[in-house]
Amino acid sequence: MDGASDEDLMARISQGDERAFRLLARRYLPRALGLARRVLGNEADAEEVVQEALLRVWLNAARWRPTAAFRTWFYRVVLNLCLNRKRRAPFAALADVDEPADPAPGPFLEIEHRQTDRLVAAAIAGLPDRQRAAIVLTYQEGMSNAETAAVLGASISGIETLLVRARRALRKALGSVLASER
Amino acid sequence: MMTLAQFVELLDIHGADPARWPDPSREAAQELLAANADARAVLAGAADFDVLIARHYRRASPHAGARSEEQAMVRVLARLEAPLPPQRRGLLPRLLPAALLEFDLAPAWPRFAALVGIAVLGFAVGLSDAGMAVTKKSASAIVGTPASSDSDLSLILFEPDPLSAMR
Repeated sequence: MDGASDEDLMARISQGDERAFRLLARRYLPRALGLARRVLGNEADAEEVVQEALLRVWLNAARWRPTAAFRTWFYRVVLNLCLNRKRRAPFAALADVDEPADPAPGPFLEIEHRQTDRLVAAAIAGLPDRQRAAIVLTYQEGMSNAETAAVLGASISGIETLLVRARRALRKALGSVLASER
Repeated sequence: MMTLAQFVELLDIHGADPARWPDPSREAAQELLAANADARAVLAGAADFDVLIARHYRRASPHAGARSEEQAMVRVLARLEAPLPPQRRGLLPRLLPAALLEFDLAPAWPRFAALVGIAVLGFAVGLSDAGMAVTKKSASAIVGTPASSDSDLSLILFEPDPLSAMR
């Protein structure tokens, strides 16, 4: 069953197959956790949101129809839950989140990378929610503008506007970092 | 030929990787790049930006902190080990599957916005002439006499009762 497609697993899950559900959960957990963590800036909240999203997959499996890729639909559920939670809870700055250790070759380079990462994280954290989500999907998930639009439930032109604004804001905020990178 | 401003817009929309550019724009952009040094400098700046952001996500990705990521996965999977709740089944979900599912899992804010919008609309109609016209008709129907003028109606509606009990 390990090689089964997402759609095949969803068909099994809709019949109540818990093993298929756990396999699909394991397949998407790392990416979904990364996405939620980037949007929420909080590890505990990210875990709760992903758990909730997976439970919704289980609950609604019988109603799901493969009109879109499972990945697109699932990320949309995760993002909607993240955005709902962010409206309810006070925002924890992404800059405050400890980044996982980077296997950099030397301590000085690692310090430099960490400083740059903090500045980039702070700049991304300063973006409005939907702009940040668009940036995460584009750069972390490598999604096209059309896929990002599907996940965020927006038109492609709407996503392009979000990305233009986000990139311009980030470039402005990271001007000094970009200059030192050259 | 594409202008430099159009090229900057293209980079802001699609990033610096030509593979992500739409086909017609890619051709025009490459013509511009061949002829214009400023365009090449702008592309280099956009590429630096993409590298910076992508590297940030790569370094902060699950694979960079494999151990803590594994722990997070174990925690979530452990919570899902508990008996799972019964799935939603029945006739209605089969009849309206996609629409119901999209509505059920959509963000909460459009529903709140719709609710607030309806409340504001109701309030505005109540205060407006349209609302008053309805009230006039209702009032004349109750009183049994046609409302001859606005002043008569306001007397019926807004004349306070005499404070006889206070005398």
